Amino acid sequence: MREQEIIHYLKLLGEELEELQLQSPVRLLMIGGAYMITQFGSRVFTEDIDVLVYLDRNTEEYRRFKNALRFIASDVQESQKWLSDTMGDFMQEVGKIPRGQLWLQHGMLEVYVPEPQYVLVLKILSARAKDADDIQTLFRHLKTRKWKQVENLLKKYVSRDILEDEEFAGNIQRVFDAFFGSGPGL
Amino acid sequence: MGLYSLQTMKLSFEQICEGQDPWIPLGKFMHDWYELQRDCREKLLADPLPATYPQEFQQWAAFCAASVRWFCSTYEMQCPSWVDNPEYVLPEPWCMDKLSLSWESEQKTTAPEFIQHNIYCGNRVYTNKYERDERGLPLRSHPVDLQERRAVVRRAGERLARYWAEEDRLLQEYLPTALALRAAARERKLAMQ
Repeated sequence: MREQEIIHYLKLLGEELEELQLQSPVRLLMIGGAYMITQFGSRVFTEDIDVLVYLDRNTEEYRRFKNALRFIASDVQESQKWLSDTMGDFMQEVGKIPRGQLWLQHGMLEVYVPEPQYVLVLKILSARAKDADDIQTLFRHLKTRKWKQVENLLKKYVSRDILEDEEFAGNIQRVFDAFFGSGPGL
Repeated sequence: MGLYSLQTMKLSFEQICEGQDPWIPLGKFMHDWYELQRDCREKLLADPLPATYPQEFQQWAAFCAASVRWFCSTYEMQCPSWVDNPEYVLPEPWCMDKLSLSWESEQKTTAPEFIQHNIYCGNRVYTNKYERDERGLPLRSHPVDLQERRAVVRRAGERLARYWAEEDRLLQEYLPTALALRAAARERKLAMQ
C-alpha cells in the first residue's frame, strides 16, 4: 500500500463503521510502516497498516469493526490483512502507550499517531534487519546523538519486565552496537 | 490494486525483481503463511522461482530458496526439490542483517538451512507478529537448533490456532448481523437520494 491507498482505505473504514451503526468513533493508534510512510515519507510501500484498536475484543463493537475490515478487503480486492491489530497486545505489554495526536478523522473513525520517540522504541525492541532503515530515519529525525537519549526513551515507554527480558535486551544491544558501537553509525 | 492472489514465494521473488522492497512481498508471504492461507502452506512454496531473472537478484533468489528450505524444516513439511538447484548457493557468503552484532555472532545465530545457501541472516529474519510465547509476547527469535525450533513453533502454532479459531467463530457469528446493518444503511442512503 502507498500513502494514498492507506488514507483511502482508512476513510472507507470510517464510512463502513458508520454504516454498521457504531455509536461512537473507533479510535486507532497507527504505528509501523504506515506510520513511517504517512508521517515521514521515508518509505513508499507497506504490506499492511499496524494499529492498536481501542476496543475491547469481547464487545459487539469489536466484531463490527472486524467485519468492516473484511467488507473493505472484499470491496477493494485487497488482502484481509490490510489492517492488522495483532501488535496491540504487544504494545500493551511493552508499557506506557502514548495518547497520540489525531491525524485522520472520517466517518466513525479516528486515527491517532504517537510521537516518533515511541515508534523508535518499538522498532528498537523488534530490531529485525528490516527495521534498520526506519531506526536510522527516526534517530536522524530525533537528532539522537548519544545512547543516553535512547536509554531515557526506553525507560519512559518500556516496562521493567520487558527491559529485563534477555532477548529484548539482546535486541537493544544490537541496535546499540550497530548505531553507537562498532557498527555503521549514524 | 488487484485481485488478491496467493502470495507464494515465487510471486514474492518476482515482485522483488520488479523493484519492490523485498520485505513488502516477504511480509505478505508471512501474512499468508501464518494467517490467511495457513491451511494450504504447501502451495505457497511449491512453485519454483522463474528460470531466468536479472543477475543482480541472485542473492535474493538464493534467499528465497533458503527460506523455503527453512520454512519446510521448521514447520515439518516436505521440501520441494527446486530449492536444491546449485544456482541458489551463493559463491560468496552474504551477511544480510544490517543489525548484526558481528560476523561471528551471525554465524552462530543463523540456521543451517540458510548457511547451506551461504546466507548469514541471524535467527530473527522471520520473526513475526503472529507467533507468541507463553507470556503472549511475539517470539523474538527462532532457535538455530532444529529440534528446539520445531518445539517452539509447535507451541506457538497451537496458541495461534486457538486464537484464530476463536476470532473466526466470533466474526462468523456476527456476520449476518453486520451484513443486515450494512444493507439497511445502503437502502437508507438510496432512499435519501
